[in-house]
Amino acid sequence: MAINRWIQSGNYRRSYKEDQTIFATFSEQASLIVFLIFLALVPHMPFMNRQLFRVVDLAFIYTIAVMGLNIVTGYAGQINIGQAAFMGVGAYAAVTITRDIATPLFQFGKTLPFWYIIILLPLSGLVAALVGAFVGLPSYRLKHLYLAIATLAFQIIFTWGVGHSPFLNQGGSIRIARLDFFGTVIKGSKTIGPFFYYFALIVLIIMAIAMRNILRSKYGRALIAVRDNDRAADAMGINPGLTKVYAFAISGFFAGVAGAIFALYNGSVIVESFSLSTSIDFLAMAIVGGLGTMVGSLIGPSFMLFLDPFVEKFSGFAQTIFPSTIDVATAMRPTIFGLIIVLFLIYEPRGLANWWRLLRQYFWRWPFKY
Amino acid sequence: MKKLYISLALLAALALTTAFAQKEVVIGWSGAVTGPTSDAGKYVVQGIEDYCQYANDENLVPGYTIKCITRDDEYNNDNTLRNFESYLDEDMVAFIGYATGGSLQLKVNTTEEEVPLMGSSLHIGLIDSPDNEYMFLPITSYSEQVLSLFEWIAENHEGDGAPKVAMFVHASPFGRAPVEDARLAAEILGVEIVEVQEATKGLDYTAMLQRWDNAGVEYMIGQHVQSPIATILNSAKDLGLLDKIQFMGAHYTGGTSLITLAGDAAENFIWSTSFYLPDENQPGMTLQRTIGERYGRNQDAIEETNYTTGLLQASIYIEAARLAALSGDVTKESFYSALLTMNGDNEFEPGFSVGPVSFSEDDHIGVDALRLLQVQDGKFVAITEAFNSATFPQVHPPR
Amino acid sequence: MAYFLQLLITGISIGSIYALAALGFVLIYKSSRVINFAQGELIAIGAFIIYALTVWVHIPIWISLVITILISYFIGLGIERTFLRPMIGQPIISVIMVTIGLANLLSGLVFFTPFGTLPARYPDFLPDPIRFGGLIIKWEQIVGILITTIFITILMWFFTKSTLGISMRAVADDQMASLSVGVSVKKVFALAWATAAMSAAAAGFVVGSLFGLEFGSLTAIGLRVFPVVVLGGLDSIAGAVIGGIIIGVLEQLATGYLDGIVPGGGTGDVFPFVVLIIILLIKPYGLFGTVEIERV
Repeated sequence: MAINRWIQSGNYRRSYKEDQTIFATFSEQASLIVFLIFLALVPHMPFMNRQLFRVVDLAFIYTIAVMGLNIVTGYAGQINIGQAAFMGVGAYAAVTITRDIATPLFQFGKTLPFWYIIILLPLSGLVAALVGAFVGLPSYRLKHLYLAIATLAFQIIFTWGVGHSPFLNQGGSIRIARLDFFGTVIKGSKTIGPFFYYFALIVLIIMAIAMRNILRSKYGRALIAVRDNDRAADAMGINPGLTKVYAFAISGFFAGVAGAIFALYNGSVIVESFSLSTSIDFLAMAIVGGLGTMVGSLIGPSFMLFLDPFVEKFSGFAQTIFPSTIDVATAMRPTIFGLIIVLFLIYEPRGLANWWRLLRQYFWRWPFKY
Repeated sequence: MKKLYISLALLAALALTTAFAQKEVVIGWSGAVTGPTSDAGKYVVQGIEDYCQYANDENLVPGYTIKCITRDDEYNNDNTLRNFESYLDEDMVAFIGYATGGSLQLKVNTTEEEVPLMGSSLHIGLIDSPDNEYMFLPITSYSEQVLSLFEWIAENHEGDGAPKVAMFVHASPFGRAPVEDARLAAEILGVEIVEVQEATKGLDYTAMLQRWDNAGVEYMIGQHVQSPIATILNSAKDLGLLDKIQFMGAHYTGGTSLITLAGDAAENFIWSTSFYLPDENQPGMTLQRTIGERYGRNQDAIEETNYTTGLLQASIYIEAARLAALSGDVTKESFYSALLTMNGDNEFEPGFSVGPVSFSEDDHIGVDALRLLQVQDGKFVAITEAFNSATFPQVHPPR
Repeated sequence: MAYFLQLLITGISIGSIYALAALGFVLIYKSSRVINFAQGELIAIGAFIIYALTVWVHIPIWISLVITILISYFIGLGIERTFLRPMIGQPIISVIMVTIGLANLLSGLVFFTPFGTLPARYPDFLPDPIRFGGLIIKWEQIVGILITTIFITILMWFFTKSTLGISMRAVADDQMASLSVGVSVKKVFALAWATAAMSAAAAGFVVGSLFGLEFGSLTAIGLRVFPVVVLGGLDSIAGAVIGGIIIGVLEQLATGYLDGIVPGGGTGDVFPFVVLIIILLIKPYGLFGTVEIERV
């Protein structure tokens, strides 16, 4: 008997082919579509102001980078403390390609045409992917956690290297032209906010589909196999070293695309945006969202970015309790973020994604308890 | 019936209050109250808030209330941009920036939004083209400060041969700002720059100092913040180099906390800045004391040059608002054009700095003069009158 | 030549700080395979407690050093009990990320005290530097090297002679086997963290007396530990010491010679990490690390 795929209350997939489908139920599929329509309508809501647009836009951009991080850390099991640097590589690639190659070649004026952006994003991603693969190279010889240290080294060398390259304006701001969307120049926060909302959202959806498909392919399963037991994976004909290098390259690609959008969004690139603390923020986003889950990398960044203004407000309140010699606001942010990371790892290692799963399961069976 | 009267009266009262309500001028500030460099930022924000309150209490802009919104950005550019845009939602007419990085990144936004930006960063690149129409510096740039030190060296150097200078700069756009101009000026002045050393968080400066000593360095010019300079001075004292190398620095290297941190190693340090010091007998400094005491600031804040910085920044914008209010409504546009007319008879002299504040189409630097001060007996003492660097216009014409 | 010797002396003294910091790191890695990202914060906390005891409570600095090392023992135990014990049985990667969270949390807590922004120095407690033939040796440097030597001697004795030390080595060698002969692995983990906190406090003392107490610089040492341990081998105590000294000297030599050549300088900050990448590529298990041999 065919199961009613609208109201089924569990996993009833019976063949491998069915198991490979992206959505288990039609209701899941439908709710996603409803949610996407909701997202498409959000910019027209009356409460959307410039500040909210900035938070949401950044959340989308960071989500792309965190998806990449999740591939390498969540699925391939390698800690990456340099994701912000990979994002920086993408951003600098976008800026320098535009400045030194594309502008003289195509005679761009004050704006960049939209078709060029379509080419620029994957190109910046590729550059970051190459760098990612290079940083991942030691994984041919190394196992376990040495790679975490290699990515840390990369982060530090990146910051130093950019600071010492006159070619990159020594980390000072490099301007990238605004873009021209079929006749409308996207400039000024009134248009930038909504435009990049849709732009980043669409790129995000494309990248999410790509990630989903990578992960359910042979290659994605190889990643998980290497994470769970690399010796067994080796015995089954998977090359663990190569798999990790791939993972780093893909992760770099995601970060690079995010970096390029970030550069276009801000109109300029500055090295301070890609610091070690940003990398650690990315890790926190991935952990809170839930490592090794697709949904996690979508929820984590938004959760952390929306939390930030609340922490600010709360520390303003807390300051009234403490004596003025103590700088509560400075103390509050790392304390709360540190606590969130630690508490999630101890009490909910599967992250917010698990709460989402539980919530969904509840509705699967609703109104029955179990 | 009674109810109707009451509600009518209420309505009328409401209408009256709105009609006579003061109009607002919104000025936004975003900087590091917490996080890196917050030891400076927390005083700047106090200066801005206090001067705003002072302006409202004294009714400096008749018919308008000044609303200064200050928000912490933890020295993080993303937060600076977020704050800037949220102020746009509140119809800000002018923005006060803080960090060099954030201000550089905001250049394009100021042009697009047509909102002027002036801030604590004195990077000359901020007012260079492109996108420089709405960018202002409150006082002389880092470049001019460093060049004034070069000029002092060229003038006061004793001994044969070119004076040998080493520069110690912060490893960021902030630190690198004056390097290029300094190289050009050194060539004109016949000074040799032996090396430019960048550092963020070095632990130990003995190797660096000894290398300089071996290379015959006679002067060090710092473009950094106080604490590493103090560490260098202490190491130099241990190495016995204080007599051999004259240590000097631009605006953010000096101030009272340098003396606190370095103790007697700070003796003879030369500092270039445009501000008066709180212990000087100047009208602006008296005002600073009055404002600080009126709004209950502690002694540390009142004696801080960064507090003066905040006062100066707010006072410049409030003066521009006053000028704009004289000739009509204060809007984004009228505020900006008033700011540009702040010259000639409209020159503004709040007394916080060694020269008056003036802006025009071509002049985006507020206070054009500076002074050199030297630590003598544990106190900064002026060793020059207020002057302008003569080499600066040669190496960096307005762009 | 005097210049080179001076660089060497400074390098060795800084290297001994790194060695102390790396010692704790290696102990934790050896016993539980966890990379500790909070080592820098532990160093800072140790240094601050010594300052508080000396300057605020007016205890002589040597006694406050001893008291602080004792306090750090309990801090280490506390951290292990609160944050690491619940993670036993979880994948190592999660445990490591707990230490990243811990680093954040500890630095936040430091900002609740005046030390977050207070740039302070220990009161001078040692005589003026020794000078001969153009060389300057600070007493603080000598003290630093001495403390490192004492610490290592005690640890060596502990590992070779005491039952607890031998059981720690056993756990490092084979957790399963040591469990089955009745060694308490939990106790060993706790002890590793306690020792790490103790050596971090000692390192904090040396840094504080040499360079003053600035929170940012103190935590930065926590990152500098990585090149050290990769060079020495993640699980070798001798490696930590020798690696520490090599990195300290290399860093000074880079500042002393390379900075004059590289425009902008600042090579001392990045050189150790370049060395790290090279070691990872050519000799991944470091000078003294155990090469892993896998048998299926």
